[in-house]
Amino acid sequence: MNPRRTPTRKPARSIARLLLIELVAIAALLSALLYVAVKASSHQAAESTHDGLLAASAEAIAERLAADEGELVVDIPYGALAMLGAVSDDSVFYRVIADGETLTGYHELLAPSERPNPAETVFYSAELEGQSVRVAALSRRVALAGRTVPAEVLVAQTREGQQAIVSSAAERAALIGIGSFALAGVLCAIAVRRAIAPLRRVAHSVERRGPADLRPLREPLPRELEPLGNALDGFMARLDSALERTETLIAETAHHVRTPLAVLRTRAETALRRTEDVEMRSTLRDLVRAVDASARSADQLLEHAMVGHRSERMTLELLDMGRLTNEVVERYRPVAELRDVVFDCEIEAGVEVTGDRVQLETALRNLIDNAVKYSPAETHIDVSAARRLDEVVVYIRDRGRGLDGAEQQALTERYKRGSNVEDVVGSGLGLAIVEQVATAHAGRVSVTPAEDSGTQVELCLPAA
Amino acid sequence: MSMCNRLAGYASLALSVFLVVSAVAVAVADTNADIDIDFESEHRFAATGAEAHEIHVLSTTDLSLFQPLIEAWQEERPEVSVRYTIASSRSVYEAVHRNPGIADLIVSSAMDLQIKLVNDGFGRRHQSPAVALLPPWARWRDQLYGFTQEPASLIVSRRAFEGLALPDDRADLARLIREHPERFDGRVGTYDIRESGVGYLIATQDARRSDAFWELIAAMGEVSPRLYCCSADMLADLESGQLALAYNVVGGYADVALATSSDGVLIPLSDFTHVLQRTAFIPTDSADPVLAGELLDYLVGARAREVLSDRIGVPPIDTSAMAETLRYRPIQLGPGLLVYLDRLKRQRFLDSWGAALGQ
Repeated sequence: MNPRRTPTRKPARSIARLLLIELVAIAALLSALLYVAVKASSHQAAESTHDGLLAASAEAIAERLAADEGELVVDIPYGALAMLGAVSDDSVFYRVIADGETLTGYHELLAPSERPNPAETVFYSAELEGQSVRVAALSRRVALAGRTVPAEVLVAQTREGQQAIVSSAAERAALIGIGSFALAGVLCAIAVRRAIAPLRRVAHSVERRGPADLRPLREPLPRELEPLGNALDGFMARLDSALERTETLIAETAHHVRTPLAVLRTRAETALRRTEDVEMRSTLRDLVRAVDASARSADQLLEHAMVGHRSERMTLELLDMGRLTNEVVERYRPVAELRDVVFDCEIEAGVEVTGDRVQLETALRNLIDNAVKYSPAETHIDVSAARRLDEVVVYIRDRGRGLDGAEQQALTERYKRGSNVEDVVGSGLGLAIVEQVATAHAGRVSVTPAEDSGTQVELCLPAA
Repeated sequence: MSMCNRLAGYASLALSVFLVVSAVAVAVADTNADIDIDFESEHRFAATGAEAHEIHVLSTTDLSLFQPLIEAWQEERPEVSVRYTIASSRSVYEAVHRNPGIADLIVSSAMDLQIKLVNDGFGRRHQSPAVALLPPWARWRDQLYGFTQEPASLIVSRRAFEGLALPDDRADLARLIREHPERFDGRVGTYDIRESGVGYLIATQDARRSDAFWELIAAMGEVSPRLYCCSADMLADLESGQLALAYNVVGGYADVALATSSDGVLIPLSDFTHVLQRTAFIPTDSADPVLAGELLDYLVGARAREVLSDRIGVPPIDTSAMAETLRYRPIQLGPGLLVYLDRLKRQRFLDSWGAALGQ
């Protein structure tokens, strides 16, 4: 029996990885957007601050426009240019234009294409001596000798300081972007892990089940997994009923076979008592033996069906394996004594397992029965039950003819018997039953040749 | 010239410098007129080793102050010969303006003109660990760097002030002049700011700082002041007894001159004393900007600081010395210095100054 099927399908891409990749891609996109947004807004902030400073400087100069002895003059205040040096080391240029003529300053500085409205300051970019400058320009009307003269004040500054601010802001924005991306990545990984945790739990609990455990899933399922859970439950219910039908069929078949066999045996024995013919008697004895073998097979088929059936609905209780073993040995002692076979028992008290009494008893009975059956007259059978690490081990050793090289796996298959047992009544189901019980209890059974002669069997079950 | 007995030779050195400067002084009659660029003198410091490079420095600084610096540099760089041209600050400005390749390093104490040259794009960016150590007020645009800090001081003659308390601030000095016109008549000296770039810079900064400046100028105007193009002349006249006081003499020259004088007293005025920087930058078309950068790094570096303070007696840039007393106000490098170079502003200031001085 091999309950684990090797998966042969190619695994699809991991949900967790797919989810993580997509979330991380989204985080990267958002971080990039954040970077662009912060950079753009810091650029705008730096430029508007710079513009404000230039406007204040132009305003301060414009305030000092005055008529002096019939001429327009301007007395540039020290602070007007000094303030531009407070923020950065950028070059400063200015130009005062009166009536279209440069009054003072850098005449190369480009005037605005249209004279600005007196209420507003205009800002624009220009080139001056190979440098890119930001210009603030405003206009005033000055009363001069009975007429008003239009005057413009232009203040310009190179943008190195502004660019330095923007690039340091961009650097910070990049750091923020990278930082938030890293944080988002970690959070995404945690979120993905949490999101698929129920899936993992269900998969794990299905995986952990015994091969014959066909009960519905007990774990609470997230809504998304409910269809899968329902499908799985339905599938297992169908499997369960199919198994049950099969076992019922076996049981009924066995039952229906056993009754006519009993009748046949009685008739054959009656006939044996009545006849004196030696040849006939021998034939009848063979018949009785064959009927016995058939009956035993039917019995074991019943047991097997029963054990298989109970595997799915085990009644678990705390059982003392020592005591159970003793009970079974006591039951077989009279049969063994008929052939002078002696049990040597070494049974520890209080070796407990959690299991199904009927199943375990059946398994022990099969093992002892085998041992007695295959033991030659006047031999010993060693029986021990002991705790070994976290297992309870029942050990049975006979001095029979041994296994004759038969593989354990072959022996535990249904209807398989050893190659040297023609003269012993048996169905070939005994070890299969034991194996089934052991598996249902998460244990195992091993059958090996004993040192000089005979067979040793170990039934190992997890200790309670 | 041998530098072995340099200290002992200071007196004769100073005297010879005064003579040279006086002899070739440039007359800049009207700054608005198209001036001829007139170099006062040119010197060559031959390479002490096998010559491999030549560097040309255009400077306003007298040889007496700069020679020890160059010679100490040549100890490190014996393969370099230095051509050193001296001109007035206006001439230096005009020369660079016309030809940014005229020299490899431009040195001037007229901070405003230097700022204007750099502002107008004649400077070349120079960054190095040495210049990065300078305080922010001694550097601008990674191009212009200060390497000395020299107070513009009042120097008085003890003999002339006999029996009078020495003045402490500008108001004090103005009061003394007004109260003793007979003592000071024709014996008060200051820069002719129409000619001297440095004089104009200090005067405009003084005027910006306090009205006491105008009060002092008005008081001077009443005693027929003598106007000078250069510190050296002023100091020579003070030494000879023709002047009772010299107002706003740049520290570098005053310190050197006073080292040999028993009569002159340097008074840092307590209301405020402006501190000028000698600044240097590499012009855009320098033939050897790398070597010029090395010289610039040397000028602001530890070795030059040692030479400046120990051998020449001019304080190098030092923020802590500036912080020691409240009276020292460093003139900061920045675009504010452009304001008084404005055509209208300058005209207006010169008019006011002339009127107050009674010129």
